Parts: sequence; C-alpha cells; structure tokens
Amino acid sequence: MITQVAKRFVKTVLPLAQGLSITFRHQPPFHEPITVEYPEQKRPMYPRTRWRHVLRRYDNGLERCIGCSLCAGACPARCIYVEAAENTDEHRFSPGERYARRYEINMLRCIFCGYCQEACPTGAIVLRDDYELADYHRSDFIYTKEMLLEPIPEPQEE
Amino acid sequence: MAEQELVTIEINGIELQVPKGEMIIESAKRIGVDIPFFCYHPRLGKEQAANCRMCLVEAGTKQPDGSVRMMPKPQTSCTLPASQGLVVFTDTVAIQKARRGILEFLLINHPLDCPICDRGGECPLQNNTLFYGPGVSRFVEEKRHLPKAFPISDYVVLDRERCIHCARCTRFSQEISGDAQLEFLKRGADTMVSTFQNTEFTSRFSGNTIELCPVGALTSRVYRFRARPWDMKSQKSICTRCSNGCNIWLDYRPNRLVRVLGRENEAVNEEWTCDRGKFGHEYISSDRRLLSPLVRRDNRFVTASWVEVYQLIASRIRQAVEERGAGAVGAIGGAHLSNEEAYLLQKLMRVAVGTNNIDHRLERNQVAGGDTLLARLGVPFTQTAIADIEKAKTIFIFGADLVDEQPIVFLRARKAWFRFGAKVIIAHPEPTETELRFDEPLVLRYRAGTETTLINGLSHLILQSGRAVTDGISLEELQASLSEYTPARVAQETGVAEDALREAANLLGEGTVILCAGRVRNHPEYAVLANALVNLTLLTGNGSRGNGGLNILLPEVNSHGAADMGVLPDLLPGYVPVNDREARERIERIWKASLPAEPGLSTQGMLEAAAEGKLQVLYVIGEDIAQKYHDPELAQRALENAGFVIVQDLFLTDTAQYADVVLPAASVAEKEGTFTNTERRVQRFWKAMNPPSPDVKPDLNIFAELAVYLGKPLPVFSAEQVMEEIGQVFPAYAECCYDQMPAEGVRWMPTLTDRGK
Amino acid sequence: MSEAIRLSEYPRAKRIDERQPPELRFSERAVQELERIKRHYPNKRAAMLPALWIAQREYGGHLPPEALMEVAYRLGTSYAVVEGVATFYTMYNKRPVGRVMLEVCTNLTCSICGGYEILRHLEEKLGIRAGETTPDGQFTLVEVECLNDCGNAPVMQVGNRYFGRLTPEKVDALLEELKNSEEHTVVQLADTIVQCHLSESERQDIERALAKAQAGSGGQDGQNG
Repeated sequence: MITQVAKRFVKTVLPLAQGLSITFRHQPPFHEPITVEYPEQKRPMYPRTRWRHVLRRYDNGLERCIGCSLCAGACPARCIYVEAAENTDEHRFSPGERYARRYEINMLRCIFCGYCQEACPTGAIVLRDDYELADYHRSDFIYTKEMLLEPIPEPQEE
Repeated sequence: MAEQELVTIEINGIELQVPKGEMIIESAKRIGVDIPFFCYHPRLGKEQAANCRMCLVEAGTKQPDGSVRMMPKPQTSCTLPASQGLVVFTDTVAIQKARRGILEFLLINHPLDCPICDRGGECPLQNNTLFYGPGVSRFVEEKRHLPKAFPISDYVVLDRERCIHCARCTRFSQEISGDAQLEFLKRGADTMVSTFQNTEFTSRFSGNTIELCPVGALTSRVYRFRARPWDMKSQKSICTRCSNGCNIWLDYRPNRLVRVLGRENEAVNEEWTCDRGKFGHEYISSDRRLLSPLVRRDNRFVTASWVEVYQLIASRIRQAVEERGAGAVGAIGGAHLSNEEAYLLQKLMRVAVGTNNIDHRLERNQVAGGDTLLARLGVPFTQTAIADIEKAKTIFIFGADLVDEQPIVFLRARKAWFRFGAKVIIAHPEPTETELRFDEPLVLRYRAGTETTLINGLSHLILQSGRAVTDGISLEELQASLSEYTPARVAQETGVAEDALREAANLLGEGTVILCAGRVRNHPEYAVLANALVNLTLLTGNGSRGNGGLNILLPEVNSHGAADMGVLPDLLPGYVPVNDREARERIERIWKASLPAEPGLSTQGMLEAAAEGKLQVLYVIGEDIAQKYHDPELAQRALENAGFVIVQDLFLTDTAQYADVVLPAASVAEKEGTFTNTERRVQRFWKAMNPPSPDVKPDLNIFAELAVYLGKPLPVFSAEQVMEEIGQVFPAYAECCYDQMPAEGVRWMPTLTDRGK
Repeated sequence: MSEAIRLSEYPRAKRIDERQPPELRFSERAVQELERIKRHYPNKRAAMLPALWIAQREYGGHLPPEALMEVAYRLGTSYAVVEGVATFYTMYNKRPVGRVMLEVCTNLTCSICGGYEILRHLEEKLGIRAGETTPDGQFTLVEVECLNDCGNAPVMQVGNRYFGRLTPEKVDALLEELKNSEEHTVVQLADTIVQCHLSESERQDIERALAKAQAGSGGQDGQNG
C-alpha cells in the first residue's frame, strides 16, 4: 500500500519537478533574461529580416532607383506606384536616362514578401530591419519617395 | 477570295489546306503553331523583307513515292509560299539552334537597358529571347555605342543602339505612308536607321513606326517614361480627331491617359493611326480641364453648383420662350458629341424648348433640306466604304490635301495605288503633301474658285467621249447645260492644260472614287459644286453600282452622326423633314410630344440673329465657334450680342470667354457611346477613366438633367437605352443596339425608307 | 498640359519642306545625260546610281546633302532613300575630297608585295594619314580593299587609272606627274563612269542637243543685245 502511494507520488511529482527544473534553470540566477524592455531595448534583427523598405543610393549620392516599375510589376499586393521621368544634366537624380519622379508604397497593403527587392535590377529597393511602422492615419501609410530614400552618404574621410 | 486554289501542306505533321501562295508563317497561325519573327508584318509590302531570319523553318516537298525531300537549308517562313505537298517543321533541333544563334547575334549589339526602355514588357525581342533565345551570351566585348535617345521629331525618339535592322519602319514609311523619310544609312555593322541628314521626321504617320518597332529603337516622345505596360489598363475607344473613326486603345494609369495605340479594324484603319490621333489625345488628361460649372458674376467666372446653373439656365430659357417665343433659343454643336448625346440634344431643343434652332455645321455648307447628295445619290455624304477605296480603278482627289485632312482615307487611297495599281488624279490649286506620296499622279492645278468649271469641263469631256452612262440622269439635259464647258474654255478659265483635262477625263470611269473634303464643303457655291460632282459621278456610272462613288468627307468625329441624329434645323433624326407632317407625326408618337413644324435657323442664321440681338439664349456645345466657325468674326459678334450664352465644353475655350454659364463636360475617355464615321459606320467607344472631378458630367447626363429642369423630363439612364430609342426613330440604326453591335461596327445602309417614307 | 519632355540636350531637328524643290545645280549636260539614262530603266529610281555619279561630277567630286536632294528631286524619290543608297556605296564620297584620290590597296597580295610600304611612303610624303586630305586640297589618301589587279601588286587606283608594281620611287614620280596633270582626278572618274552608262549614239545626241541649245541661247542673246 505504502509502496503504491510512494509510487504514485513519484509518478506525479517527479515529472513536475523535472518540468519546473527547466523553468528554474531559465530563471535569472541561472540564466540571462530573454524578454527585452522593448521601447528602451531593441533586439538585434537577423540580417535578412524584411521590414521597412529603403531606396538606396550609390556612394556618389545618386539614386539607384531608375523608375523602371519592375517592383510594381512584381508586387503581389499591387502596393507600389512608380512614376518615372527623364534625367537631364542639370537635374540628375540617377545615372542614365530615367529616374523615379514619384515612388510610393502603400504600407497597409504591403505584405513584406520582398519580391520588389528581388525584381529590382539596380538593387535600389531593399527591405531593412526597421519594423516600427505603426501610425495614426491611413494616409500616413503611403510612404513617399522622400521617406524611403536613404540620406545622401557623408563623404568618406581619407 | 472564294475561288482561291487550295493546296494541302503539312506543318509539324499536321495536314491542312491553305490558299495557294499563302506564306507559311500565316498558315502556321491557322493551327496555332508559333513561329517567332521580328521583321514580318502582314500589312507591310507586297513582299516581306525576310531580313531578321527569326522565322526560319525546315521545309521539304513530298515526292510521288511518299518520301519527303528536304530543302538543304532552313527557309524563312515569311517568304515561303504554300505549295502542294509542302512539308514544314517549325520546331526541330536545327531550328531551335538557328533561333538561338539568331537571337545571340541580335543581342550582341542590343543594349540590355530593358528596365529603362519604353518597350520593356511588351517587346518582341524580350519575348522571343525568353522563349527561344540562349540564356547567356558568349559576347564579352564592348557593344556598339551610338547616341542614345536621339529625338528625330516632336513625337519620335530614336535609339540607334537598340535597332536590330528589321526594316519595319523603313518599309512602313516607304510602302504605307509613302513619305520614305526613314531609310537605312551605311552598311554592315554601321547600318543605322535615319532620316535624311538627321532632319525632322515630319511624316504624318510617324507614330505607327513606334508601334511597329519590335524593339525600343523608335519610341514615343510623348509616352516616354510615363508608364510600363503592366502599370496601365487599356480600353477600346474611337479616335476623335477627325471623321475617319479610327479604332484605338486608350492606355491609362489612374486618372491619366498615357498613350494611344492603334486598334485593329479591317474596315476602317486596318491598324494604323495618324499622328494627330496618336498624340492628339493629350487634352484628356490636361490640367486645364474645367472641373466645375462656372457662372459669370461681375464679369468674372465663379464656380457654381450644378443645381444653381441648371436653375439659371432653365429660368433664362423659360423667360426667352415666354418673351420672344421658342425661336429665341438656339443651339450650336453636336459634331463632337456621341450619337446618343446628339440625339438627346436635338430632342431637348425640340421637345423641352420647342424650337428647331439647332445645327452642328460650322462650315459654309449649310444647305437646307439635306444635302444634294442625299437627294440625288441617296446617301448623305459618302458612297464608298473606306475599305472599298482600295478596290477603286481611279481615285480622284478633288480639292483636298488628304494626308492632312483625312489621313486614314489617304492611307487607303495610297494602298489602292501602291498595292492594286489604281490611277490617281489630284486636283488642287496649291501643291499639297498628298501629291508627293504618289508616284507621278495626274495633277490638275486649277485656279481657286474655278472648281465647278473644272468638274463641268470633265463631265463635258466624258459626255463627248460617248462613255457617259445614263444612270438616273437625262443626258440631253446635261448636254445642253454643259455644252458651254468646252475643253478650251475650261482650260483657259481653270488654268489646267487641255491635255491634262482630256487625260483626266479618260481615267474617270466606272470604279472611280471621288474624294473631297473641306475645300468643297466650304465652297461659296457649295450646292452648285455638289450638283456638278453628282453629275460627274452619275455620268461615270458610279451612281449606285460598284465601288466607285462620290465622297464628301466630313470634318469632325461625329459630323455624320450629328446629321443622322437630326442636329439640323430642318431635318429630324433619320433625315425626316420637319415639315413633312406624316413622318413628323410618327416621331411625335414615339416621343409622346408635339414638335415644331417650321424649320429653324441654321448656324449661320442663328449667329446672324444673335449678332442682331434677336437670339435670347445661345447654347454652344463642344464647338469653339469663336475660333472655328468659317466666319469667326460673325461668331464673335453673335456671342457678344446674344442675350445669354451657355457653353458646354472640356476647356475654357475662346467661345467660353463670352459665356454666361460654362458647363464642364466629360471627354471621350470618360463616357460611353457611339460615333458615326464619315463612311456611316457606327462604332462604339467605352468608358476608360473617371472624369477629372465629380462635377464633370457626360453630355448625356447634362442634357437629360437640363430637360428635367425645363419641366419636360427625357428619362435617360444610359447611352444604351438612348441607342434603343434611336433605333425606333431612325430604323437604319436599329442594328446598332449595343448588345448586337459587331466589333467592326455597323455601316448603316441608306434606303428610301430612311427618309421616313 | 502634359509634362514637358526633357530631351533638351538635343536641338530641335531641322525641318525640310518637301514641297519646296531644292536648289538645282546640274548643268545642261548633266540634265541631258540623266534624261537619257532614265530611259534605260523601267522606273526612274533605278537610275539612281548613275544619277549619283552625275551628281558627284557636278558637285566637284563629292556628294554634299544638296547633291543628294537634287538627285532625289530629279528622280522623284525621297531624300532619305537617296542618302541610303549613297552611304551604302563607298565610292560615292560623302565628305569633300582632294582633287585627286589615291586609293592604295592593302589586301592580301598587295600587302605581301609591299602595299603597306607604299601607303606609309605616301603618308610620309604627303604628311597625312590614310583617309585624310592634304591641306592644299590636292590629294586624298585612302586605304582600300582588293582592286582586282593582283597580278600587278602592289596597286594603287588614281581616278580612272590603275598604277601597278609600285615602288616608292615610282610613287614619287607619279605624284609629281599628278600634281601638274589634269588627268585622273576624282571628277574625271565620275565622268568616266557616267559616260560608261551612255551609248555612243546617246553621247552624240547629247552633243547635238547641247550645241542646239547653245546656238538657241546664243541667238537669243544676240537678239537681246
């Protein structure tokens, strides 16, 4: 009888203890905390995370985007709108003949699939790791070219 | 075509019967076998150029013993005519290899700038490379470099790096448009397409070369970088720039028309468009479009709501009718409206206002009681279908610079000469571009003003020669009336050499197509001249039979439709005279309203009355009469002195500057309906875009709503419904119901019953 | 209205009004010759090559755009087509050339027998490179492919004559001779080719017609005087 009780005790409590031991092993004295204090602390992102789009520039400051609209063609959510125009020597935005006069992404529609990045022949549009995309108005989710463009890189120190 | 000999050929093991001599590339299409090509184009040339070598096939002939004897080398299928027992293979290993080789060659010098090329996405070179080409190129050296994006005209940009020397554009300019302004210069690797000394490419049809170019070598300067093919939608439409009624595609992005492409219609434009049509629709997306109704207050235009303007217009019209009678209200316009709108406009004026003061004609030809042609030939304006011009034996271009005025009719006339050997006579007081497009046509350079003498002189010569045909015409009477037009006298008066007159008279005969345009319509003695032309037509036996005939081509997109719809002071829809009681009553029964029986004022009459201050309300719809009326001064005086001027248009035109109320109307891309082109073909157009502002309304809605405010509602919900009613009133239009209308439109045939008898 | 299209780097192309006939500079003889040559062919355009030779003669050895325009006008075809033909063939000079053209063959046989030496020698002697014209407008030096006279290699064509088995000494003597000679000029070559297109009777015809015109105009002058 006692042996039976003891057996049942062991059968119920031992797994509990085993389970809890895992819990305790991940508690502060034995383990670093996993949760981060989000707004103050930020978790590093994986290099291939796909979040907010960025329009890149060449090192000389010219835009990579040539307004070819291939990203808009590849986009499964049809959330990219591109309007191209022609470069002149006085107003040069990108190398070559063509640049994007308007480049808009509707972030509400975007599903962050990264097809635009894949379609881009110049590597202009990339999805980077900025995931803080919340906003208060629908209209604010239309990201314009000015919002998407990288700042002009600082001239490199010799 | 029916008695064409058929031969049995075999393509990829499939036996089929095709007309003898048909090119294999066409035969292959019949069974859905795809043969890639660049330079082949069925409409270009008597013979194909066969210089892209993309359509190579392996061919052989069946021998009597059943074996197949193959030709030693691959053949170009665009120049390989079908013959009995021909065996063709389009997809053998050798052919696949040949295609890969050809494409690799073409891509040696073709720059890979597809992402910025306007052709990218709809480029035959891209497509063929994707389907048949090699994945990689073995060419690692520097490509050929030439100036990029070199503008050769206001419309066309030439990128010589991209050219693959298919010769489509040069063949088009030499064989179809006839100006031969594009040509290959130099040879070998230096070959390049160019105009003479890089001067401007002034062809009236230059836009077609853009569409023909299988790469992005010739691109549109207007469409440049506006959109990629996947960015835009297309809608079927009709060109509004002249009366030829070309079928076009409107390609648009959200609320922005980006380009116009030719749409195939064998009966009208084949697939060509003129530059006016291709580049002349920019107005649709203009920033200067009217966006809301305007009312003049203190000599300035202020925006107003539709309710306000309707009430204002209705009160002014009612006031005018009460004070001076319905005759004090007049409407000018309709040639730019769709059939449905033109119909509703005249119904509005006749039923809701109660006046016949309505006219669409801006040229001098404002003959009452329908045209001379209608009375004597039974057709309102044109006898020959555009497609039938190419069957003509002789083409007599009389007083018209066809290239400029009627470009698509010109292309047919040129095809008749170039492909089918028609003789060409051109009569014009000045040297015209049209003359240059034919090789040594017979030119009659008469003195301006002697048109009637010239035509009567020709008739006289035909009568004398004894070839005259008694076709509903009394020769004796004519003989008497024409006896004074002896060749010597005519030659002296018109300044045309007597020999040339005789030669012209000899060429005129059965199968002669006479093409006239603006100069005849604006002739000071239009009725006399038209009568002389009808005499000539009847004498040459083109009254009712054959493909020949007299054609007085019209100016505006729906000039014909407006006349059909009764936007005329003396004719109801279907050319029913307003003073014909019986016929009028039939229409009254359909409309359930009584109609004014007295003919109203023509445009000239209305403008004269307005200038004298007798017209209280002048309603101008879609016509810039201050600029375009044949007597602009009279129009301006009329607009100044008319009591109340309503202008309904897309823009604040010069005419609108005189207006008291300006109504913003929708453009052709923003509404649906039908247009009747110069050969009586009723063709549909569809709505593509939304109007630039919610306050811009289709004319149809404006007329219907105005009728409501005038207390005589004309219940209308759609253009389709109006067309059904038109079919009742004018039986010739009964076939034009939207759900029955064939793709190429309906060319309504005039019969005597059309006059309501 | 629509956005201005920025192709501003390029000036607007010059426009030619085709309805205006170009300036005509053919001499009476040239007109007569072209008239005869045209009759040889089923259509006028087929006479384009001889017509271009006439033009090359009339315009002093090369074909400026005006010459092409005149040929096009006289043959009733477009300017571009004539330009296409003229630029296709290398013997029509599109740019001004010297009075005499020295065309040195450097194809296989000639180069083995010293064609390049001849060319270098000429370059040195004249102070120009192949393809250039001497500043005094006397000579244009051109390197050409096979002249079909390999038996006499190295060969040089000067106007309507071949000079074979050349040596630098021979070339020097030839140059001296050519400087003072009226023979073998570019214009003369063009004339020779034009005359090849005409039969003897046609040539006589032209002479008679010219003489008649001369007499006629002379008579008129006399009257006027």
